[in-house]
Amino acid sequence: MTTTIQRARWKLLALCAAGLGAAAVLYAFEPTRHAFYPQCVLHRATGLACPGCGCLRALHQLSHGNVPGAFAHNPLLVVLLPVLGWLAVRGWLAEALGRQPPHAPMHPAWGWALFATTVVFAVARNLPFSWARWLGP
Amino acid sequence: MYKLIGADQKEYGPISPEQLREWIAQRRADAKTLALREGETSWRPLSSFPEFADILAQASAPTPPGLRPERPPTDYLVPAVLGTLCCCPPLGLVAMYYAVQCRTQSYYNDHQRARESARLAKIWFWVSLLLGIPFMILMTVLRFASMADQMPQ
Repeated sequence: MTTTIQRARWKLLALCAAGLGAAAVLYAFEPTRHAFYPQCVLHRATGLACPGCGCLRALHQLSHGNVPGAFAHNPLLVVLLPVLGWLAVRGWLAEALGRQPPHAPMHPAWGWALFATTVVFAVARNLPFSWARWLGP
Repeated sequence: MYKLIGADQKEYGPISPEQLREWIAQRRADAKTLALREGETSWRPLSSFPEFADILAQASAPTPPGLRPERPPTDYLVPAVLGTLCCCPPLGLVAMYYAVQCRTQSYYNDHQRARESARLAKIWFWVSLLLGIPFMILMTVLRFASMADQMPQ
C-alpha cells in the first residue's frame, strides 16, 4: 500500500521529470519554427491574445538565457515564473516530506492581486494602443 | 505530595497528586519529567510511577481527528494558473477565482466554504484542461494535415 507521502514523492519526481523534459524540448526547438507545438484555443477562435499567449516563445527565450527577449513575448510569465515556481515547489516539497503545507501565512490579498493582475493583463494586451503593444505576444 | 523538575531545570512543588494529574493533562509534565515522591530520596521519571500511568497514556495519545486543527484543503491555485496560461484562459480564470477564494476562506478559518471553493476550483480546472487540450491536439493535427497537402508531390 502506498502512503500519502510516498504518493507525494512520486508526484514530485514525475513533475520534475515532466518539467525537465518540457524544458529540453523548448530549448531545442524554437516555437516559431516548428509546427508541433500546441495552439491556443482562444487565439484561434477569436484572434484575441490571452494572458498565456507567447508563453512558449518566452520560455524558449528564457531557456537560452534571453530575459529581455522572453519579456517581449510575455512579461507576465517572466514576472510570475519565479514567484509561482517557488510557491509550487514549496507546497510539493512539504507534501513529499510529510509536513503541513505552508499555506496559512500567505495573506489573501496576494492571491487577489494575482487574480486582478491576470485579468487586467488579459484585457490590456488586446487594447489597440501603442503602449499596449509591449504587453502583447 | 510530589516535587517536579521542570523543563527549565527548576524545582516545582510540593504539589498534590491531583494537581500533578492536572499538569500532566495540560501537558506541563510528561513521562520524562523527573519527580520526587515525598518520603523518597531518588528522582525518577513520571513513567515509573504506576499511579500516573493512566493519565500519562491519555495525555500522550494523539488528539482525535475531530479536535485536530483543520488542514486547509488543496486549492488548485497553481494548476489553475497553469490552466489559464496554457489551456483555456476564460475557464482557467474561473478556476483561479475559486482557488483564491478558497485561500481567503482558509485564511479566515471558514473551512466548510473553503472546501466548497476548492471543489469548484478543481472542477473548473479540469473542465479547462479537458476542453483545451483536445482542441490543441486537433489544431496541431489539422496544421500538419494542411502542411502535407501543400507539399509538392
